[in-house]
Amino acid sequence: MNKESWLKTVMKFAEPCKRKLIFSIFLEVISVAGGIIPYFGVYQIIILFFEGKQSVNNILFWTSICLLGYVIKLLFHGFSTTLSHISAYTILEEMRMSMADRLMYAPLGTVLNQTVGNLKSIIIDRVETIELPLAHLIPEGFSNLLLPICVFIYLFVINWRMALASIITVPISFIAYGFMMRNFNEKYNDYMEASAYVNGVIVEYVEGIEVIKTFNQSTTSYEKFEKAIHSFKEYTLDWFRSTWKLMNFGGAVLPSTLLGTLPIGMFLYKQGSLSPAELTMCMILSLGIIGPLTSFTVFINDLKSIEYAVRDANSLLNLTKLENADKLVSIKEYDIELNNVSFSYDSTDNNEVLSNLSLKIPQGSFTALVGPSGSGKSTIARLIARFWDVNEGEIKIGNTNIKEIPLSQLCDMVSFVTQDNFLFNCSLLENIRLGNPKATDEEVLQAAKSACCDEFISNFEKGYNTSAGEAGGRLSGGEKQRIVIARAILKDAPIIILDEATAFTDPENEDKIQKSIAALTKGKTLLVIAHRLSTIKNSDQIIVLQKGKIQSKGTHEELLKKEGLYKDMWTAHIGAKLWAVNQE
Amino acid sequence: MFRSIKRIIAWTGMRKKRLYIGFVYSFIHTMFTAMPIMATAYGLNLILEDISGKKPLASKEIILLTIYMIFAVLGRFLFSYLRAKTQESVGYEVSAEERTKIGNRLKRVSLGFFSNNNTGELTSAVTTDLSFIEMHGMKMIDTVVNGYISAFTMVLCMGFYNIWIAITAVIGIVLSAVFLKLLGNKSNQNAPIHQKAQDTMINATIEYIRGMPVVKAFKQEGVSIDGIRNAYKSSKDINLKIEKNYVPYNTMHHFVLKTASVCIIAISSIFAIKETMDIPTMLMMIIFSFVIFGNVETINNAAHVLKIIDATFNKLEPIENAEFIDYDGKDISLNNYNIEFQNVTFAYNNKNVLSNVSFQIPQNTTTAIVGPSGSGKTTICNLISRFYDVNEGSIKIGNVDIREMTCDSLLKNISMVFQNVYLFHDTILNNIKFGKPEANFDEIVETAKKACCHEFIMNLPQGYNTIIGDGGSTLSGGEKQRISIARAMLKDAPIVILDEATASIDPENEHFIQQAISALVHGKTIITIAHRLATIQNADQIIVVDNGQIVQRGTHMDLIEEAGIYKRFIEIREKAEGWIIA
Repeated sequence: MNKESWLKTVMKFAEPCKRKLIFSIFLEVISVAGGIIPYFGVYQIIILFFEGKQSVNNILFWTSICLLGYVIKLLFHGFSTTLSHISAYTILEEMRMSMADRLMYAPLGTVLNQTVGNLKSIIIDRVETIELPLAHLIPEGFSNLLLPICVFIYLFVINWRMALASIITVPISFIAYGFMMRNFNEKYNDYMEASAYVNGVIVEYVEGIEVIKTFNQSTTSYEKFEKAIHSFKEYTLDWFRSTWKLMNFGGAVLPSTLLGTLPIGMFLYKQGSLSPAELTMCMILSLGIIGPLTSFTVFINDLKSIEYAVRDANSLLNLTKLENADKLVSIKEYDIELNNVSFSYDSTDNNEVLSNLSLKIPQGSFTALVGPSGSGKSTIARLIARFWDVNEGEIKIGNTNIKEIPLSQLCDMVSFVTQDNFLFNCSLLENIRLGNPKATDEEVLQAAKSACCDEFISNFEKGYNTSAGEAGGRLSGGEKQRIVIARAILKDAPIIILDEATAFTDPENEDKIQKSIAALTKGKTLLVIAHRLSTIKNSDQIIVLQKGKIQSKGTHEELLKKEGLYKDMWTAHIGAKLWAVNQE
Repeated sequence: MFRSIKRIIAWTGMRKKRLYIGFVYSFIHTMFTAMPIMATAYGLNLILEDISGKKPLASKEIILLTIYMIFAVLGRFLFSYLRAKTQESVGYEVSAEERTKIGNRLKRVSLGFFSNNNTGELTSAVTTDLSFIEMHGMKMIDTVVNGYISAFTMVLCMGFYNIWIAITAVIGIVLSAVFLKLLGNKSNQNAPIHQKAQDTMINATIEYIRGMPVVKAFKQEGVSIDGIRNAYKSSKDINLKIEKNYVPYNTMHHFVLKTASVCIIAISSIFAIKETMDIPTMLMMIIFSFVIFGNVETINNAAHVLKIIDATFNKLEPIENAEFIDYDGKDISLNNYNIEFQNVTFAYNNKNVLSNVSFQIPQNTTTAIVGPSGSGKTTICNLISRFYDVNEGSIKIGNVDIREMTCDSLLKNISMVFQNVYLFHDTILNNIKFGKPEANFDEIVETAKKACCHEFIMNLPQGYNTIIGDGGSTLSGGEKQRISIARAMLKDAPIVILDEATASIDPENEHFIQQAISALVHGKTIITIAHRLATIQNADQIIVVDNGQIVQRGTHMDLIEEAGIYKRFIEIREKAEGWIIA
């Protein structure tokens, strides 16, 4: 929250453009110096008049000097902003890169727990808002501070009382601004929240439009929608109304430097301590500090928006990385073992998803995880694939703790097939080959055939060379799923973790997915997150989970003999299988 | 640029008048800003008279001038406050109205509108983009219009003393506007390039995040990071190129104004030498020269913002002008609920989805629609609820062409259970009540019980007042589905359209959903997109759709005898439902 911290964050990313940044400030200082020249030139002209030495030549000379001053000011300002834009965009690029990097090496589970839209909006949109204020703040903020100080010193040299007179409006208006800013942070926070809320309601409205259409009978909008919009408007306007008086008071007083310099200057003249030329000069100079002073109010807003964007960015920049061992481990067997594993998503004891759970999965066996939703089935699978690290206990593969296995080696051992059927925007051939970059075209084709992909891929004009983007709209969920399975077949990892839900991504083509799954899992150590009990009744071992603990385990027959959760679930399942929509 | 300003003014509609009143305040405000400068001229005149010995400077005069200055500052404050009060709130008021208006409109447009316009773009137009106009629209009016008003007001003051100086100032302003116009053109040219760079970067980021599990599973981290690095770098390069494009125009805009300032100094000095202007006036002109263009100088910063506002208006326009699907519909209440498709053809993006489809669904029967994916099953359902209009033929319910009805009066009769459950971020109570806003609590509990919701709802810490989606109250897919069924049940419409795949959302608790669905459809006219053998076998009528046409129709007993899609379909289903791993 404090200013140092966000400034530090920004500066951390300014490393590669540090020189440009300093140079940009340097150029802006020259530009500011150039901007003072016209005041000096005008001073000379005024002196000429007061001394009676005015001539057209003299005037033209000094006005040319003025113009030259402006040229210097504008030219150097142009160079300076170009450099500051380069710096700002570099900072943006570095920030985004660093976020992307963090995400890649953070526990995968942490990333998957956030929506893609949310991550995108932080990396792209929020970071983007930093650019403009940053590019202007760096040089201009500095020079806007420098210029009033230079002018003030210059004024001080001419007459110290005039110097003070020129800034007489500053304390008055700052008191007004101070009152206004009193609860600015709080209000700004509320405003951001209100704005996020109203936008959230609108997004919900658009996404739920089918429901709105079907259920919302009256011609007026959904009440919540209207209320949100109305209260956001009222909130904002209330806030603004309360600031307008003070803000405009400050805005009217601050630039009215003549209010101090004219009367006091005339008074000093009357006393005889200020010459008329000096008086005029002081007044003109005092006008020169108006611009920089007023732009400070703009900068305050800019600072705020940078601060908020950086705060959002920090939520990604500070993700903890997953530790990675670097020494390859020799693993000969693929037994999986969980010893007293406890886990919660927020690393506290309160919301444990798994508590003190132990489990053995022998190599080459078929184990099914069964249990109501929220029982911890998926979590076990994800922990084995090391989406997260366990809080307590250990997970071993072939008697080695998976934390000691380099992630890349672990990857080679485990294939995790989920409902996520993401394809990269390259050819379908390459999408499958991702499973084993060394595979020949022939091997890729073979895998595709085993996964029942060959038929529909061949139907494309370009066949396997069709890019996933081109094919995108024409591929059904089930077809994409089969490509993903082909990829896993090609990878040929000894351990397969399968979310059975993959089988019903596409109720119309269930049979084909089922066939491809059979090809994938043959002869492997297989762990299935099961949803339909009939699918897994042949497994070597069924683990029945409830609230993060193993409730019972055994084969289908063994479990059916006992009264308990499994038997209840089985009865319900069999009943469900026979159900029809329209049964009486 | 000036066109964008016009657009903003037009956008404010009824509140335009307040903007104009604001302009008047702005004019008066500038007058008060100019007053101290004129007072300065007067003060300097007093000093010069004192020097030349014509009239000694009196303290009284200084005090009077001070009072006058304070008066000017207070006037300045008053009118800037009045301007803010009249103008600045307009943006927020209009935006609020705009949001409500769009909300109402979206409810009554064809669903095709949503699929033609990417939903993401649509929502961002109504949220982020509209917020942008809300926040910046009035500021831009202030910067540009009031900027020029203030400059011209000062020119007016100067013209009062010397016409040539006023002309110089006007030339400066006009010339600078030319460069602003050029800047605007440049920014017009760059807008699509910028947009493309932005889109590329967004897509790369989304692919990067979405692909992360795969990338990690197949050890492609390096490649993936390189890819995103390139995307970010090229975005930076393009943006910088665009930024550099603007520098000359910005510089020239300022240069013209500064030159005009210097010219004013030169001209007034020369007039003073020729003694056609007195010294105090000359000094006043010099002071004016430093402040007159202050507000015009910053206008170039507005160019970018205006460009974005312009683009936003372009996005909002099609939404505001989207056509009501039931533009000339009437409120009709139906006598019976027989559904009839007569030669219905429907094309989507110039591709026929349904061609010449005819069938009847008698009241209180069950119709199962069966067919491969993409065959047109969902489209049939969407046409019944008039999410789209047919291209040819007609759909009648109770002998009324549904195009003659308003969407409200039609949809009153239809409940739909969607495959994608959509619940609002609101209490469970309100979500169920959505189906019938006037329902009382007992009625809702009764319905929830029938839909197998009551039990799990009561187990939540806040029961029916639990807000869906809030921390800790994450409901499983099946539970959400059951709430959506309760919602449909409360509505109690005579026609129920449902996708049977909804039942497999939560396979562990399938039977609860099934029970809920059974309660929902009891005694209704049912149209279901069916996958399960049992449902299909029990249906009064099966419609087999393939490639947008009805290829078979009848009961299970009829169709199983025929060789055809249906028979193959049943065989595959039998196998799939008996699937066992290993």
